[in-house]
Amino acid sequence: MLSLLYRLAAGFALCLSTSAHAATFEHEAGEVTFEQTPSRIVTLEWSLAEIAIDLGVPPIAMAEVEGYQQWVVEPSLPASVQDLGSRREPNLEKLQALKPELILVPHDYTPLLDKLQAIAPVMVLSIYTEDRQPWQRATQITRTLGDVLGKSAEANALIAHTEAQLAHYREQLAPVRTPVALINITDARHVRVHGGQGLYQATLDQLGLTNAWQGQANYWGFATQGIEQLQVSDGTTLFYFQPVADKTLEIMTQSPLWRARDFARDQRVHSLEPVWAFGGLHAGERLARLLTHALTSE
Amino acid sequence: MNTRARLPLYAATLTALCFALVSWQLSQTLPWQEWWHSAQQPNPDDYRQLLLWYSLLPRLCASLLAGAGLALSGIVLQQVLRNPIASPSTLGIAGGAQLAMAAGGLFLPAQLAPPTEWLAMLGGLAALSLVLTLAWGKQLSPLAVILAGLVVGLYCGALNGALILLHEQRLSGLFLWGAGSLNQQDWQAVQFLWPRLLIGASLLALLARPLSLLSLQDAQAQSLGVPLLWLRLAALLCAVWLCACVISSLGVFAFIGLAGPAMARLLGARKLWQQLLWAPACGALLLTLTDQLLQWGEPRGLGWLPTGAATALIGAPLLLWLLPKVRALRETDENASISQRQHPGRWPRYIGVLLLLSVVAALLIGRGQSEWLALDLPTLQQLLPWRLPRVLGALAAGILLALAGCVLQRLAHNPLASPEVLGISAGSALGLIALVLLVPNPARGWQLLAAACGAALSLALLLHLSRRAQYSPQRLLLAGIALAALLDAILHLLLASGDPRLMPLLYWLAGSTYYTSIGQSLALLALAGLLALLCWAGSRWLNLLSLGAETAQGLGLNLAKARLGLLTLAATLTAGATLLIGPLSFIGLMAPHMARLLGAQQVRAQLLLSALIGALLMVLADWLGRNLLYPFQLPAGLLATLVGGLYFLFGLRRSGQ
Repeated sequence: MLSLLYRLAAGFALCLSTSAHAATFEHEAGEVTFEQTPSRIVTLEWSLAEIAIDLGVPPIAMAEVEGYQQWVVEPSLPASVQDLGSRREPNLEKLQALKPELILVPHDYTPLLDKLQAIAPVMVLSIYTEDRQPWQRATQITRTLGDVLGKSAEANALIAHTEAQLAHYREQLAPVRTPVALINITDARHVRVHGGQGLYQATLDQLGLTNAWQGQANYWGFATQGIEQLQVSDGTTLFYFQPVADKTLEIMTQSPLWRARDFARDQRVHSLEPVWAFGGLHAGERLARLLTHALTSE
Repeated sequence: MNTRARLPLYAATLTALCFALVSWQLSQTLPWQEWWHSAQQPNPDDYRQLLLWYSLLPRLCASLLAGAGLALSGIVLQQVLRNPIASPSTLGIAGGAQLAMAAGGLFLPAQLAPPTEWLAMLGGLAALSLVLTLAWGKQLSPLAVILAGLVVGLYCGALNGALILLHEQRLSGLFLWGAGSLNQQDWQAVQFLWPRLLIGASLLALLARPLSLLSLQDAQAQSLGVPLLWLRLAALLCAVWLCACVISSLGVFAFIGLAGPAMARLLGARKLWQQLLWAPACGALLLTLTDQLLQWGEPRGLGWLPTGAATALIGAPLLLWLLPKVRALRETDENASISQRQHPGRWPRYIGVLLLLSVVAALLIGRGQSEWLALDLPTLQQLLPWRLPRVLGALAAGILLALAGCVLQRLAHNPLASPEVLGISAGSALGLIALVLLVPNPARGWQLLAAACGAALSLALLLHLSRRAQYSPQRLLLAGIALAALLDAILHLLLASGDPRLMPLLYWLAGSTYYTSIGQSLALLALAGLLALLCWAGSRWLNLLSLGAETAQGLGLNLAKARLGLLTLAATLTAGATLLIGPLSFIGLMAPHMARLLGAQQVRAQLLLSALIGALLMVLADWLGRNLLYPFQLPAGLLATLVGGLYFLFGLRRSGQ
């Protein structure tokens, strides 16, 4: 009896979906079907928010708004974006009350899928996966989101614009021969150095720049090291990301081992505004822009 | 045995080994012919010379100093408290210092902050005084002190966890420091450390003679004219100072303060002056050896392992191995009655009503987009699917933990025994960590399974370890402490690696009801009901055991069987709660305690009342966590811990023993 009802319901649903202008999209944890193009979207993670904003469909809510403003910076958030609390445990009651039409998450949110799916259709889209090609993944996700949000033209324009910008920067950087190292200063004695298969490395590749650090990075494309262990090639230009406490920076740069390095002696050390290391195309373009500006205005 | 001959021999062998390793290490950077030159005046154009002089040598000195300082601190603590497993890490001193520094760094403006070593000292002292106050009623018996130390250490850890949750990005440096990294880029840390350690050591040298009299009975010592209280106090201050200096300049190196003295004794140092001399030497050697091995392993894929975490990985098994050798850990005294009250009276009814009210309130009242109170049907329909699983889950977990704590405290004759201390929670956390690292994006069901496996494995290990001692609860608790320490070490290690996959674990470890589904909550509630019945049935054994092991046996109780049964029961209770809300909450510690304060002296009365209190506390903590910082949500376990800690301090002052 129950199964009969089930079949009836399923058949009915099938009729409905074929009658309307339904569109089905695949994502990492299955597929979603929309009767209408979703416009009220929510992103629980910053990189997806970045892409959505660039496509002209800013999320109605996201997690850790303040953190986004501090660590991702670009593209800037509309004031209307609601805060859902922490990225790890976004507030589901509030999320439901906002009646979203689509929730975007990367695969870290797998344990939460059941609960999210009870609120709205969920798409799982991750820039960082086992195949470690963040740039390709970001492009692909931009395209997918463009299709889903009815902004295919904008998505293609965004990709084309990013590629054109990068080509432009690459041209500007053609005379630059110096290898570059990108670090975050964690405390007065340690740095996170970026490379491997992270977004930063992918951006350097696009710019035709050499990464001065060729060590082994973790899944996310960085390694934590003491500054004395940092092995970079000769003639390196070093970039450290903000924010860094003045005191920390002072201790690190006063160390004899720092001062002995050729980047310090030849004053090829630059501070960079924050760039979200786990972001999408925009973050990559931002890094490229900041790097180009710093390297060409030397 | 001929200790005089053996001790220097072993020490010489170890030193030689260490020396060989260091020389080899240094020669990897710079050929030995150039060492002397480099040490006199490093050539600023030769990076290898600079590396030797400004990184490798300071690192070597730092590891020697830190090892010696911590081991000296440990041996003094052991002597003063007459406790062979006292150390900065087992007494919560390291945890307190760490917490004070983290909080100071976050909340004090840079101009106002005192020098870090004073901050660490303050934190360490606060932790130690708390431990001693907690164990005062038990005449500072070794086990009571260690248990109190563990509880305080865990509490500091929980607070640290809260800071990390709220300031994730800003504290990545703190992770590294907490994991104890010895990387050096100049002589600053060494220059900071040696004069301060020297001061501490000289003071201790002055105290050495009177201290050696402490191994006599108090009365004897007093008759020899030793002002005991002042002597102990001065020695303790010195010990905390040594530890605080090391922690504030280099970070946390767990267990060196335990391992150094243990090794000295093992090598045959019997007299106090021998130990005061050899323990720091052993500690210095141990830490240096560990650090040199890690440096050797750095190009071979061990670069991510901070030294402090590595010492804990070595130290925790060492503690397990040391336990059977500790003879002085026999508890004799019975549960001291904390309250004059003998009957709970109407309290179970009052608490029951309060619980009912709070469940209803937790479901209906909450911060939302517009108003706090949800009364109309459509709103309720919307909100209940979110609130009900969490409230029921918190309720069930509270019952489970309170019952577990009740059984354990009765069993171990110690009001500080709690599920956290048993190591089951640590085991399930380890299971979960292993899963997260091995399987990308595990589903919720797999997480539960992994945690259950971890809990079962750790229970098996604990039971195996304590089988020879007839499942003596004391032995078991100590084994649990070692497991908890191991978990702490691994956790620090993982956090220091900066892997973003691990952040969700922090939430789970802090005891969050966020992920529970209604099915899971109901299952847990059913489990709680079932196990509560078993507890009720087991209360006869508990009653008999309260009379003392000998009496109980005389009355026909099969001691081993009863203990095994009750322990398995406690472990199942703990595992059930841990699966849902993580390993830390202190409900298991507080609820039985509060029940007693309210007069529940009989086993059954205590079981009932503490289950009610546990449920009430968890429901309230979960509600607070959901609303306090809306839309941010704080884990229920964390809030229960914070509230519980305050209660504990208050309760201690009131009971005034």
